[in-house]
Formats: sequence, C-alpha cells, structure tokens
Amino acid sequence: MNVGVSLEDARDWAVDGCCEPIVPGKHNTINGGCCHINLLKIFEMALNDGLNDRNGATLMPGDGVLEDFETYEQVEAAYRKQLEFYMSMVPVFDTVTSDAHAKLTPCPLLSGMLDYRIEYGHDVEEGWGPNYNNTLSICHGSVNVGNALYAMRKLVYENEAFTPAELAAALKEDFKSDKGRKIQRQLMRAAKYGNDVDEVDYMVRDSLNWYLKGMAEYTPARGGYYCPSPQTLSANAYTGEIIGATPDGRNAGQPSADNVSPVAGSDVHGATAALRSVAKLDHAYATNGTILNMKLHPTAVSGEERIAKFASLIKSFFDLQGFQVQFNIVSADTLREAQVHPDKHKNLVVKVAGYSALFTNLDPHLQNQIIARTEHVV
Amino acid sequence: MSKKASVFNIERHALHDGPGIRTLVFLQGCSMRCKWCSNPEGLRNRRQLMYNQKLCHESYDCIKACPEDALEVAPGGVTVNRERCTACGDCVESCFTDALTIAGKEMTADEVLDIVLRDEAFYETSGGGITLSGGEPTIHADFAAELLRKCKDCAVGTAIETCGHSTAGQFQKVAQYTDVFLFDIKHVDDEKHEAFTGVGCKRIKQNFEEAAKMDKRLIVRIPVIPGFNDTAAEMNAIADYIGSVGGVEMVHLLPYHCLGLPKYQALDMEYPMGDVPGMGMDTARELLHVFDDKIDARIEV
Repeated sequence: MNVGVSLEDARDWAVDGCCEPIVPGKHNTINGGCCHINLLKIFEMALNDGLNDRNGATLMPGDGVLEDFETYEQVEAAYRKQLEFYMSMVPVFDTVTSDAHAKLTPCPLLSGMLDYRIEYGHDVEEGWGPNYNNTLSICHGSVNVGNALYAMRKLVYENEAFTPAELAAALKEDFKSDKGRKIQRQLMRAAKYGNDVDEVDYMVRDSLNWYLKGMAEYTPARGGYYCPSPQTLSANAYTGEIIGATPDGRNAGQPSADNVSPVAGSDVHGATAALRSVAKLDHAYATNGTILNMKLHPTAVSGEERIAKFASLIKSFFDLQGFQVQFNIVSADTLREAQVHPDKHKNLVVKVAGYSALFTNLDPHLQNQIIARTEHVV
Repeated sequence: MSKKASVFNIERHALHDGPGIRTLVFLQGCSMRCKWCSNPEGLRNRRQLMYNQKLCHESYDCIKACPEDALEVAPGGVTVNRERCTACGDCVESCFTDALTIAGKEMTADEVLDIVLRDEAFYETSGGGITLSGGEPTIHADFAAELLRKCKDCAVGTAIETCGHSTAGQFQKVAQYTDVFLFDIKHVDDEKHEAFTGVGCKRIKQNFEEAAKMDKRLIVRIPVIPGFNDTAAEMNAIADYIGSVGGVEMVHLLPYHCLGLPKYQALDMEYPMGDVPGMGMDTARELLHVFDDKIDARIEV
C-alpha cells in the first residue's frame, strides 16, 4: 500500500517473478527499466572524493578522501551525497530504457490478458493507464555498506583502533601487508549483520532505508511508483568484481552479500539469530520484495520431529515480520563433490536467488559462493 | 543480585537437546571426569586459554602481549606455560588468526536470560526453550535455579542435560524449575563407574530416582563407550535399572565419538581415551534391541 494499492486490492496480492508483490490482473507486471545501482561501489567512491578509480571518472565531486574524514558523521554525509546523486540518475536511465522497451519489445499477448489495457489502447510496456505501474529499482551491496559503516564508526571513530589514513592504506593494498592483515582481522571481528546484534543490524537497516525511501521520492517515466528492492539475485558475484577492498573486511573483487542475506560465512550464531537480523529490516519499504538465502545442513530436517522444528523456524520468521526466505538443504561436502564430479550430480538442484538452478550448470564463481554461505550445522 | 557462572558457549537454534528449537547454555565446571568427555574446556570451573596451532601464523605478537610471560616460541608456533597463564585474554586480542581463544566468560543469570529471550518467537511456534548443559549445570545450583525460574516466569520451557552427580540439595534446587530432564545414566556398577568417570554412581541413582518421582519429562541418555558399557550384558543391566525406576519417556543411545580430541590438544591436556576410534552407527544399533519390550529407545547422533 506504500505504492498506492488499495486495501481491497492489497488483500488479493500474489507473488510475481522472484519476490515481487503484485495484484494479479491489475498490476503491470513488466518491471520497467530495472536499473541496478551498486551501493558498495558508491560507498567506495564516497571514500575517494567521488572518483571511480576503474575509469578515472568523477561524476559527482565528493567531500574528500577517507584520510580527510575526522568524524563518522563526515563519512556518512559523504556517502549520502554520492548516493543522492546516483539515485537521481536512475530515472534518467529508466526514461531511455522504458522508451526503448515500449518501441522495441511490446507485449501484445500480456497486454490482452491484463485488466484495462485493451480499453486503454496502449501496450503494457508503455505504462500509464489505470493499472498499478511499478518500476523496479535494484540495489547491490546494501548489507556490506551497513557492515562497513558500522565497522568504521566503531573501530576508527569510537575505539580509535587505527586512523582513517591507516585504514585507507590497508584498503589500497587489499590488506596484503602484515599491518593490513591486522586491520582486516579487526574489521572482520567487528559485529556483523546476521548475528542478532542490534547495533549493526540497525545500521544495515538505516543505510538501506536511505536508498529505499530515497528512490520512492522519484516518479518513473512510465508513471506509477518506483519499487526499490535489494534483490541482487546472483549478480552480486560480478558486481563485486569492480570494487576494491572495503571497510567491512571484504577483499578486492570479492562478491558482495546476496540480496538481504548476511555476508557469506559471517552469520555464526545460528539460524534463529540470522533470521532475527533479517527480520529487523524495514521490508515494507522494499516494495518489490526482499530475498533471503539460507543454507541448512540435511540433519536439520532429518525425521518428522526435525521437519516440524523446521516448519516452526519458518513460521517464526514471518511472525517476526520477515518477508521471504528460501533454503538450500545440502551439505557443503556434497557440493564440493559435485564440483569434482559434475556428471554424478546432474540432478542436484540448489536455490539461487529467486529461482532453482542445477548446481552443475552454475559457473565456478557462483558455485564457490554457495559453498561458502554459512552452513547452519545443527 | 543476579548470580554469576562461567559460560563457555551459548548455542542458538539447537535441535537435538530437548523439545522444539532451543538455546543451549554450557556452564563450566563438572563433578565428574569421564574419560570420553568431548567438552574438556567445560571440566574446570574457570576460564581457560585454548591454542590451535593449525591457525597460528607465527607472528609472535602474543608473546609480546602476554603480561605473565606465559607464552614461548616453539616449532611451528608457541607453547603455553599453563602454570603461569591466567587466561587474561591479552594474547587473544593480539592474535589475528583466532589461533588463541578463551573458553569461558563470567555471566550473570540476567545476562544469559537476555540472550535466551531473543528467540522467544521460535520457542513459541516449536515448543522449545532453554537447555542448560555443561559441564554439570546442577553444581551451579543457585545460578541455574535463578536462570530457569526466570525463564519459566517468561513462559520459556526449561530443560537440563545432567550427569546427576551433585548433592541432593543442589539437584532439587534446579529440578524444581526444570520441565525436561536429559539425564545421563552411564553405568550401574559402582566400581566400573568410578574407574571411567572418577566417581561412583550411588549419588547419581538417588538423584535419578528423585527426578523420576517428579512427574516431569524424563529422557535418559546413555553414551555408548567402547570398553566401558558397550556389551549387551552391561546395557541390559542399565535397561533393567531404568525399567525398575520407571517414569522414563525415552532412552537415547549416544555412540562414542572422538570429536573432542582437538580441544584436548588446544588445552595441552591428555585425551584419556587415547586413540580409540569413533563408534560406527551399526555397533550402537545392535545394542538397541536390549531395550525392546522395556522402553522406547533410539540412537541420537
């Protein structure tokens, strides 16, 4: 209802695509421009005076480099300034892509199936009309940004464990030197989203809200509303490749966290703690839905009694106002075996993002990422 | 004042230790010395330094950080002088590869309760709650009773994993706030019990019989240990005893494993079971028939 849906229609909601809540028949189910925005890259640029060191371009001059920031508030302000600018670019891209979709890829069959379109006389790709029109905007790296802001506030500005300049040097050399390695360990030891630690969970929630609420302020080219969502699907693997080391302890080129899942391997206090962390986010602002990937060991569901406990686990997540969760229930050993002998495991299905995939068909990068995801061995 | 105890682990989303989804709280300190114990860091009632050489990167920062000069260079890492080490944790702070860790943290019952209550939503749907384990929880009677009473006040279910070896007074104090007992019966022969656990089983039997009278859920757990109780005759004697006491809902057989071995190494302790290999499931399964016609029994892994 944050995006103009009436209560009556909202009660008739269904899930479209991966995790998008829509009203069947009334929603234009074409997601519009679907512009992806890489929050962790923006965060990196905010610590580098607005410069994208990959292409040497500065589209929005920053507030200085990391070495200059004397308070946490300056870091936050620098990031939000860059974020505001890049969010303002999203509708510009969408105007171009929406126009191209309308002209190049009309959907007459779909248009004929939806309410209002025939009377209205325009293809769904053109938007507008009496339908609910959502334009999807997707962000990447939101969990890493929250973790990074928290680690910086705690270690650099509260505990003064190291200076901004020392951190900047460690990031530049990707934590390679002895000193860099130590700084990385300290960053990794700072509390992480996914362990039911309020301080860092709320940092992830708040920094994600800057984007979710910010995008909702814009009107898309096709009318209706922007429906932002931190659904990276599986693209977080390659969007991480263009980002150097980050202050959450992540090495250069590594994937960011997928969707709203904790960073792979960082949730170490059990499934209930991870679910509670995720449930703390303001899912209602993510109007195109959220996705949580969770991996469980097969012993968690062996036998009737444990299947009942598994059902309780899911039910409680929704009682806590979670939005969506999907499970991979397979041991890491099996997955590693499947990497070595793909022929023997052709039927091994894993859930990746909003769809199921055959594990052996995924590229090795993504396979490793699934293996690395914390196994909640119970 | 909320009572204190040394806690060496709190495991959330525990599925094997009582009904529903549980939070398992491990207290340090045990009144027995079972040769096969897989939690050696829980035996003594105090913080201890653990050192995992496999993770050591030989930076030797820990040696500089130690205020007691308790760490020395050794091939491939360091050695801990256990006489000198006070488990202050300064070396842990300096260690960036987690080779050094501290087992045990002094916590009040209220602090533990705060963590336990975080999973209320999961207890509610699954019928779960807290399970106190150890070490031996009943020897921390005041702390355990306070914590379990406060859990019950918050409608959180309570269970204890107990070896039963504490005074009648201690045991009763905790038992009154316990919904489910996971009660270890390891052997019924006093001498053999003492040879393998350091104590006889008279006191354990007394507490077990008291627990059986309390009209609460009583589950017996039997670790199946090679050379100790893994014959049909010995298991039969245990089954007869449990049957004669009555009131037992279920028996769990826990096959011997040696997963605790790396922890002994990390504590510079000798593993009393030596190189006895872990027990296969089939061996344990063969003993299940002893309980046929007497009581429900199953293997727990």
